[in-house]
Amino acid sequence: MLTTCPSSPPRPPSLSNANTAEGTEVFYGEENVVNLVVQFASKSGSKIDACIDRTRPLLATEIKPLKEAFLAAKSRGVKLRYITEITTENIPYCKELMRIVDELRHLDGIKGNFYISDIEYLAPATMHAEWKPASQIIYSNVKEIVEHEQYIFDTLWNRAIAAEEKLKEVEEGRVPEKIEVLHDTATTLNRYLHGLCNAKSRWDYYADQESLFVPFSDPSIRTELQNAKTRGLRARVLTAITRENISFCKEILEIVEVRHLDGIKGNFGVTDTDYIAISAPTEEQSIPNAVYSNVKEDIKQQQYVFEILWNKAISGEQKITELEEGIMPQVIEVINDPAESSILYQDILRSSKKEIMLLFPSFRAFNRQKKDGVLDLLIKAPYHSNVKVRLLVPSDENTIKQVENSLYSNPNIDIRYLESNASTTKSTILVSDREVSLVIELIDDTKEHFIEAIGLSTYSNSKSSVLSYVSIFENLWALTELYQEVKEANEKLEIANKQLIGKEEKQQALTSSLEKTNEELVGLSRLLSKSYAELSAANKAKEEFMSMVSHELKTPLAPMKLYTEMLLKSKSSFGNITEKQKKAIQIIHNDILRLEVLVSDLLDVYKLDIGRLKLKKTEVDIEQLVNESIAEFMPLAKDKRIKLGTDVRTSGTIKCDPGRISQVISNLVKNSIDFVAQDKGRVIIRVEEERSEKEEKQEKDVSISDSTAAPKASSGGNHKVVFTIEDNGPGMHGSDTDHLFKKFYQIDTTATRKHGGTGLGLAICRGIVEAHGGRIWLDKTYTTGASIKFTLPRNDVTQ
Amino acid sequence: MKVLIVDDNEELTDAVKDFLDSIGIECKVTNEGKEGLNEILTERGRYDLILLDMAMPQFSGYDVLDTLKKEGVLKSENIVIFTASSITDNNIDDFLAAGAKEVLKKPVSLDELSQVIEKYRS
Repeated sequence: MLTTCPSSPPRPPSLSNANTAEGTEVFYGEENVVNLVVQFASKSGSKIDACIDRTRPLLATEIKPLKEAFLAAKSRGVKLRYITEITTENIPYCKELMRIVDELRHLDGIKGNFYISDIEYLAPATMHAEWKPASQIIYSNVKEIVEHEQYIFDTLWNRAIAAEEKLKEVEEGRVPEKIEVLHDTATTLNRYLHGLCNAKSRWDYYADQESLFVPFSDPSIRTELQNAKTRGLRARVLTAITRENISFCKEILEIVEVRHLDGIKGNFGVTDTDYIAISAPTEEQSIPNAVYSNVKEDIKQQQYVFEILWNKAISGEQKITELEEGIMPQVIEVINDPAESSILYQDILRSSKKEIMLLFPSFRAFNRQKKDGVLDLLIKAPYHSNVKVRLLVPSDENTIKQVENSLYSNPNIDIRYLESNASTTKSTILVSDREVSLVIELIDDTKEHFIEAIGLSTYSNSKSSVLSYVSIFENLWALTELYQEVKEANEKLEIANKQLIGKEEKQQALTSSLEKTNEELVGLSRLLSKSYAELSAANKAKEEFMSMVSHELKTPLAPMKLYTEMLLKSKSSFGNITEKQKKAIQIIHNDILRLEVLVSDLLDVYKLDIGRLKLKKTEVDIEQLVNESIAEFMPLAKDKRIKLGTDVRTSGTIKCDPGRISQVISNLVKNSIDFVAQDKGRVIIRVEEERSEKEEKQEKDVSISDSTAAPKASSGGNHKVVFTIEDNGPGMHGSDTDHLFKKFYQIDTTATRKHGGTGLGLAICRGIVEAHGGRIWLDKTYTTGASIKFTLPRNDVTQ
Repeated sequence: MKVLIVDDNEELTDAVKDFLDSIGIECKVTNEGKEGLNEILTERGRYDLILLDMAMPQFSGYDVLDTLKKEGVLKSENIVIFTASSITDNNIDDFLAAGAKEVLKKPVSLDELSQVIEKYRS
């Protein structure tokens, strides 16, 4: 179809020809090209689509006839869509072009040009010089070609971006991916602001105490953060909230989400599109050098890091409440890394407010720490003027002198010397404000540096462990006084000795008695520290073991229970089973249930033992509580033809954990049902207000609940409700009953053996009742069966 | 009705599946937490009931709940925590508050299982 026209001079384009017949031709010469484009524009019906390279916007706006032709077309209602490559050089022309056309888009690296109207296709070609009008042009009105080129245009159009967007990018210098170092504060803040304004979904900022304030120091950033939520931006800050920065944290909590993580060091901020990390502020530069990156991989990585840390952190509100109310989550932590221990050691020294107690394992250890500068904080830091510091240093006569010479003039520091054999501790023990302790194990006293000499250390803010260390320290401190007294007494005695040689024996006796006291005290403190450590380790191990055992025991029971129940179902998919088989499976099933009860009883007893039974107390209607507790036994009672009834002589509510009290009632009712005779059996649950003090006293006299089970709350002023579970069974008699509420105790009768049970039920009942501030006992005055009573305070007295 | 069971105890999932099969309820089993999570996320809303074990190796039920909470789908799914709960059950309360429906304690009886299934039957 393509016919070239080699004629020279160029003939004018035969537009009439183009109008009538379909064809494709090439025309030469600038003038022809311009004419053809002008005519093309004036003939277009409804639209012109153009794809032009970066040099064309200049021509489209500078060549008057062309510009006018397109404007005229536009005023006729022709829609003009242009694609070009916007570069720094052609910006002014592109802007001009945007005023001419309906829509301009940008695409990188466009080569060549073409125009398409409803019916025609033009492709001007610049052969030699850029920025010059084309010297030849291909024209076609062949329908297929027009359609084909239209398709190409549409494809390019869809890949192109809005000119406005590209202009902004070029003009504001937003360059493709880069990493750069920012050296001044203004630029850094500007980048923060820019990143924040461009952030679409996230603005995450991780910062230690020193650098936390940086972005917030710019009011525009604060304002932008305030608006963040309304445009769906999630702004999050992860930092270490401390007493020092608490008010600042509260301030920023108003505009961003804040979470807390202990021991945060360093700084970085990451948004959807960029990442800024600043190095630690120095004295010269409050906002130091920063690294900026908009490299996708960097950002992704940092977002990932942030997410991990964020998920580990606790809510800022919670941490603030903890700090404000002085609650510290109680922890005991073992630190393996000596370097970390050293940092923590100094942090604790630095943050002490009132009091420091410090016991050294040896004189060498003391000297080593002093030389290594670990103790500089104590000696040099001015804010320690309000902190009372006491040091205990193992030493002897000679070394004392050595220290005395280099001793600090600070009046707040009190140093005492322990006889080297008085303390055999192998650790540096630090207690700060009687709230926090750090015990650093000494592993090699011959080493020169602190970090080399130490091993594991144990940090604790648990009240009981810290107080144990306080008492060890105080004991040793007192010991030094004692030692001083001994020394003084010795001196006096020596004088006396000279005068009265005959009194020698007395002196010896006194000395040895004092020395003995000395030894006893040392022994005591050693024992205390050792047993405490053993106890807490053992408790933890025990708890983990119990948790594991109960879970492991329940796991195999689960499928066993389901399968036996499915086998026992009359219409099971396993088919029918014989009566004999059914009996066997029934026995297996009963035993599964017994095991299940045993496991959960064991766990209950254990929780009661370690005080971990958590009561969920609510106000409960008494009558409803009783009725619901016995509902499950109604079918059983009916089966056995036993009378099971309630007699509630009081009304209203009681504050208790309904699940647990229900467990107590069920347990007692179940026992009674097991023991009463078929047909004639009777079990009654009675509830009434407590009777007078006098009556109760009589009752207490026959109480078999042992002495430790005495009611915790005095009855004066607190109304109590008495629950009685009474039956007409054989009852309980004799000395057996004294152990009734103890663990694993079962009265040895055939009936008990027949009924099984774990021997834990009554111990659990007692634990639950006592945890509620009530008591439980066997009413020995009731002789026509068994009667167990328990009380619960009406009002919550345990809080 | 469609039920999903996520539990690493294969014997237990066999038992539950056998029971559900016998009463004609469609049921899918996965024995790994991660797999269970993916199933919930891809099938979003298509299960009427999801029984989720807590103590699973590698990716636990807590991890599954955590992720669902973050994805914002914990409330919209009928998740029943299926656990032999032990001493430390504080976290479970948190998840119940955040949208898990209830706790079904192991070892479960056929009656308890049937009741839960009835409750979520669509």
